[in-house]
Amino acid sequence: MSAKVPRNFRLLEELEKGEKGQGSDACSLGLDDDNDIMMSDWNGTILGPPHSVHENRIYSLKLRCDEHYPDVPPTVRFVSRINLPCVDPDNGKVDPTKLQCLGNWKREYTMETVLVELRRFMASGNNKKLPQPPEGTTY
Amino acid sequence: MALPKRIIKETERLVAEPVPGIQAVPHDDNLRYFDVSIHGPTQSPYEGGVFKLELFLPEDYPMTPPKIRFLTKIYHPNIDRLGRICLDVLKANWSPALQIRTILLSIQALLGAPNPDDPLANDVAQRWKEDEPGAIATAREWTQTHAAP
Repeated sequence: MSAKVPRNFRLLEELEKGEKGQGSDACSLGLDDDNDIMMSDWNGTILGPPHSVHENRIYSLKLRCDEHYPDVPPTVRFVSRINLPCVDPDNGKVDPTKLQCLGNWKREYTMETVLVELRRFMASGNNKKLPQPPEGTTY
Repeated sequence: MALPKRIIKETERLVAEPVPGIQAVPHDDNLRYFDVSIHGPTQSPYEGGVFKLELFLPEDYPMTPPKIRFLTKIYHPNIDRLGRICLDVLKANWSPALQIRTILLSIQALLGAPNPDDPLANDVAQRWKEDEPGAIATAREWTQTHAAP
């Protein structure tokens, strides 16, 4: 078994990957508060996938990593309004039972894994055609 | 999980012959992860403070250096707001001949000799160069506020 990277060093790795621009082109991630030594709250963005109703839209999200991360997944909620089956229409919360990577979370997954999977979900099957709230509205 | 002999030996020696003013205790559930505390050196603005740090020995240690950061807030030109440390021996000048012990001593020395010409916290470094007495006073205040034993 390999060395188990503790929470804080794992979050520093995720932060540095974002700072160096080594992450996905279509998603970004940053700390909500530069002074938060526990690195709990994060801001994410997803660039709407092409050939879908989301094309050219930028979605803002909030992610929260509690003290048990990455043994447990982050909690994720959309700030930008979106009509998507895994998102609570009242508050933007992502239902972990309806998104594969959250429901079957593995320790090696990262916050970027979640953003990338959400983007794929937005582009899939029927989801890419769902009517959407006006661009720029928030919960 | 088999822990490499090198790490076991280093840990035993840290406990048996602790470095004055430095403590490093491994977590029970992760023997590569240490809670560290360092006493601020005398005659430095950090004197009287006890600073908490965390240290992790990555999979390929000692071929790569330990990862380490401050958990206690500290006003220092080479330490940023998330406690990350700018120190040559933690990066380009790391050598497998160095140890946890030597790294912690280097960090303690860095507290006694801030180096604003190789900054990580730019705003702090600039103040250190332009108004050293003021910067030192702030470092002292932060020590009292955040690092009281």
